[in-house]
Amino acid sequence: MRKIVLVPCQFEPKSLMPSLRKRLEELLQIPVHIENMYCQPELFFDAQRSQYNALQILQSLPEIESQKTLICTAVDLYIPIFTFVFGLARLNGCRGIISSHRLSPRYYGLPNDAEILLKRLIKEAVHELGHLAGLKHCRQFDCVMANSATADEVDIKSEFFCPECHSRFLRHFNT
Amino acid sequence: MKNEDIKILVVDDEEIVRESLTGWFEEDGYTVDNAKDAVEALNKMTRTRWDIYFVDIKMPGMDGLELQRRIREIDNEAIVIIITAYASVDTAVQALKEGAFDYITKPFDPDQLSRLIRNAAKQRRLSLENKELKGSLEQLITPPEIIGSSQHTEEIKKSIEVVAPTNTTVMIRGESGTGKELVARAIHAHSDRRYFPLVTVNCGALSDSLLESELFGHEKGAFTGALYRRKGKLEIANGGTLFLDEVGTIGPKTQVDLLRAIESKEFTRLGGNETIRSDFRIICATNTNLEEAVKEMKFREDLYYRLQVYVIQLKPLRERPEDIPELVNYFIRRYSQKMNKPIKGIDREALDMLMAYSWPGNIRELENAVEAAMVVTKGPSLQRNNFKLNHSDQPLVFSSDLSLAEVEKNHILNVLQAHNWNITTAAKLLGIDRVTIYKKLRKYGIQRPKNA
Repeated sequence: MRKIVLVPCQFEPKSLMPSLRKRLEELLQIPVHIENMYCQPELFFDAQRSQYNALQILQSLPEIESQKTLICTAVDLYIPIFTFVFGLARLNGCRGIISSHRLSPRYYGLPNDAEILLKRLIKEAVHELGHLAGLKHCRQFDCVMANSATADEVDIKSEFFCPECHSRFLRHFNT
Repeated sequence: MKNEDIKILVVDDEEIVRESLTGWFEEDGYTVDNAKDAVEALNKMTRTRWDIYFVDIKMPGMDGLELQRRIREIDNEAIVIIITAYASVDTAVQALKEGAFDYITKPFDPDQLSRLIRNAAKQRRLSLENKELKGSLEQLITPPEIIGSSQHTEEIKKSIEVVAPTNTTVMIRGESGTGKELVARAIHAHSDRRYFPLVTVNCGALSDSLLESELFGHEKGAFTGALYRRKGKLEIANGGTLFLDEVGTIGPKTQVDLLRAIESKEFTRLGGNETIRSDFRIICATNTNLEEAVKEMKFREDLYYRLQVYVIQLKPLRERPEDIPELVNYFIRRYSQKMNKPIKGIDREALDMLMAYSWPGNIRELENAVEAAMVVTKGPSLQRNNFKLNHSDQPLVFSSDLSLAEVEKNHILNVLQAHNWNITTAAKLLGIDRVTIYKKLRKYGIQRPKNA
């Protein structure tokens, strides 16, 4: 069984990392570790967009086949064709990234709410880990693999896989 | 149709765009491929039919606009979405004018792209579903067969082909049983209105007030017994065709209302105030002499000219006996299946008898005669003695033993039977006026049979 490694990288608020790790372990029934790794998003900062290139950040990390690595950051991520991304992961890859920047209620002019942010981070983390396990977007609106392009859509879906996605996820991690 | 059944081709010279979009759509479960330029895209089109194209407007060589035109030439229903930078929105608008589904500017807002692809896929699914349903309907709406190869029947078939695709009002004239309704059905089935209803109203079977209510519908309480609001046939025929059979029997009041409704395509239900609009085509049929009725002020002249736009005159069967063998064989095939009786055909002698007969009831009478013969026959083919025709065994022979009065009586009777008891036609043929023919009928005690 592969392990999951969370890598905090300019992540805020740091206090959420243990809760995120714990909940992911509960949900996925897979060992989840927090490890530090050399990661410098500022190298991939685009001054014109005031954003960080998620694709280049991922490519700068080493590929470790025996584990799924998920970078957790608070910087605003983008890929060249999109105005922003909440997170990024290649299908069946081993590196992914999520950002709390646009998941935080503060980004939308609302008061800070750690609980909401944690819930959204958990969903986004499970979603990207699902992609790393080869899962595509799911048409079940409440499945965590449902496509969500806004924070509201993240709120609508649950943190769980639908039965079909769940069995695919387990198959991937057990082989 | 699942997402994986929708095929998307991304055409962009920037690798990052191709890869990112391909990855994004793959995550959504679509089948995706990409091309770096128009030439590669056109090559890929020859191998696969793509449902949705994402085309960058600015590419080296053939640009997105030209590629869109090529795509349209190959598959007019494919969905093309134009990718553009802010600087070239004008060109994107040009693409929209040329039929692009939408355009999206770089960099894309994920939410906008998600919605765009969902809508495009929905549109494509609907368009394919619509095509499929139309295909199934085409199989169901097989135009009725017009049997016969006489010059007259061939001309009728040509007339149907000519008039069907237009919206012109058609008047079908002919004796009872010559196939007026069949021609009306054929016109409807060959027209663009074929997916909409063909509503038939037999004007002769209804009283004037009932016909009015039948045509225009009525509101609740419009008259005693009008317990519910009811749509009229004009309203039901919206998009389709209204076939008015025996149009010559319509009463004067309904004629006025009908004329107005035909001209304005607007009417009100009986007892109602709401103006109803309906897009219908009129086909009407009559076996009476409408010109005579107009002269006698029984039929409005303006309505007559409104209905008499394109006339199809069906000849009685006795004037085209060469159609009889084909018709007989057609009815034999039809009734052998219905009755589960393997009848092969008809004897020459029996066929000669049928061809010599005057068929006052026309094709309807022929069909009934064949059906009746099929019931009684015991052999593998129909024989002369299986048919029970009126006067089939009494050819028009005037014996030298008959008096002049008897010959006159027989001749008048024969002419009347041959023309379905149409007094005006018979009088014209006999070279006498209608009053004289009535006098002769009284004189010889000839009575019109009830079923004539």
